Amino acid sequence: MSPDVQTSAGTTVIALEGELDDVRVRDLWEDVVGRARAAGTGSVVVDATKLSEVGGTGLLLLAEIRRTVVWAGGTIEMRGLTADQASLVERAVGHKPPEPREEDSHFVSDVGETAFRALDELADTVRFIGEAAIDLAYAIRHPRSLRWRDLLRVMGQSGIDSMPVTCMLSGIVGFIIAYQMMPALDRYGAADQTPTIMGFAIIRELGPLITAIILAGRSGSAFAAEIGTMKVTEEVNALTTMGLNPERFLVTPRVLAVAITTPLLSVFASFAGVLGGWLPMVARDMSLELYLQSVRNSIDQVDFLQGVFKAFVFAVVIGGIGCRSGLKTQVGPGAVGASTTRAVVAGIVAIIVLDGVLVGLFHALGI
Amino acid sequence: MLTTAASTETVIEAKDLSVGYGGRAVLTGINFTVASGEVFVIGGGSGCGKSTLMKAMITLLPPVAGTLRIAGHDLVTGGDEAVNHVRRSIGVMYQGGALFGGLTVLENVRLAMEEQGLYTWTEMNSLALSLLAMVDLDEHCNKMPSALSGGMQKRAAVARAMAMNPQIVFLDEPSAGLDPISSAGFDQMVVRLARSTGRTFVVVTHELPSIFTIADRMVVLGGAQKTQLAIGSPKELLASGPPDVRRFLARQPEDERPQGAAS
Repeated sequence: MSPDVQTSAGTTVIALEGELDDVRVRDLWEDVVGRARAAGTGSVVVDATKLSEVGGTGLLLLAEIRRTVVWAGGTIEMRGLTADQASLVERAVGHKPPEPREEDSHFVSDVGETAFRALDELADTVRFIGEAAIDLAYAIRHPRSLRWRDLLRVMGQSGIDSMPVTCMLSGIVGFIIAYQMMPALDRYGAADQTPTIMGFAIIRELGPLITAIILAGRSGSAFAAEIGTMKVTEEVNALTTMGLNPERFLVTPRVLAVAITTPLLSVFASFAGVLGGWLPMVARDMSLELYLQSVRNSIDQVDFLQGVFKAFVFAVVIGGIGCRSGLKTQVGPGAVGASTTRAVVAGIVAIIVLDGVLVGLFHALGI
Repeated sequence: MLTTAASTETVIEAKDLSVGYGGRAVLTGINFTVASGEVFVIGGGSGCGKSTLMKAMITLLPPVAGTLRIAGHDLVTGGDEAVNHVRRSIGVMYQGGALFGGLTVLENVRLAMEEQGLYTWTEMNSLALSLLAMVDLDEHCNKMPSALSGGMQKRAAVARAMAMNPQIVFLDEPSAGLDPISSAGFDQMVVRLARSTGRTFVVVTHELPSIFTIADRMVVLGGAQKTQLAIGSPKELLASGPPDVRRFLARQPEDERPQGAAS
């Protein structure tokens, strides 16, 4: 049923009757609101005296009519509503929302700002890791200042608990490299050089790198999540106001733990990788003893120590990045998740870049 | 209401204080003093700046301007030395308790003592147990925080806040998330601790029953400009405070919605 609308002497009278339920409101909406809009700054009367029932959406329609007229600067009278209904409709007019502000952005300035932010972030991360290293040295000189229970717990989590997955992955990577390399070496009749290459690749490079990637995924993310949650629940603030240094309290045991366990883990990972590389050699009737002897002959102590040193550096960087991400956690439901993601991504990027830097450094030093 | 313990020694003084974030003031014109032994409430509606003011007082936020003297040290001009001194003079109970999840209740209370290294192991345990007994939690001392109810966690946090014998104890929204009975019990505990220990308690809350139960005096924050609206005892303010303050204390909402054109 269409509304009865009459306009005379600048006043539009909209008479509604019957039941104002959901279906009727849908049918009426455009027509009635459009008429109210057409009244402009004039006067509108909504006659609801013949309405038998006004549902929730019916009240919303009446509120929309009122809002349309009031915001256009007109006047409105509503007849036939109960006092409660009239009050609710009147209240629903609300504030006119502000015009959306146009974003003042430009592609070039956005790129520049992002680059500067990234540089700031990098500088802050380097500063944080430097401070963590100083705290580490202090803790080593003053063992009583350490939270030993935290240290041992994190050593267990990052060392013993990580051992199976790290060794398994390293073994599989060793197997794949040896398996893929043998046909290429065969072309030059150099398949017997596989152990030599495995020694270099696994012990100097892949063992520490795989260990560090696992560390970033397990411990780096765990540090960010743990410390981030502590930040959200104000435990970090509690430490601060208790006069305890959160960096020394939370960061030092974690970074020290991974700095101890990661080089050891890297040794195991390298051994597993070398063993994995032997599996394809079984087809060439090469005994494990001969294979290991060939690997042993291909590397010296410096190669081995290089791998261990890399693992140590990676551990400090990943531990530092994970803890820093946790301490930088913002508020909000996704904050801890965002910190965890940042810790893993930044950790993996950092170790790969750092690996390149260390390779260049060792080369320059003639090691 | 507590009326006995307060002395004339001033332990907190705020003068023309502005507090905010990143050097931008969000709360200005704060002027009050708190006497030793007083239970002082910082009150006001949601978003009025209560928590921001408390963060400045507990050294988590540098004040923007004015004077904020806590336990004799000005946090505006005193630098790191003042901050460190103030931290040794205060204990804080955070809204959710902020107990360390990996430590038992006893270890939480003992933590700051361990780090300070002034006491032997036996002395620390004894002190921590006494503090937990004062908040009726000694029987739960070996439980992890996750095994405690919200109210118990807050009581444990009060015990931890008092562990280093602070001059001033800050309580942030102690009634938040508690049922009315637990909340009333917490209020009684605060009054009991303030009376028996003579410490100053600064409580941030907007719970009116708590305010009328525990506060010797209170400062009410609010207004469009976010400033101090009034200071005094809750009863005085209810009787003769500014209209906004009387409305807040009488739990009368202000209808801020614009009304439509006259019908």
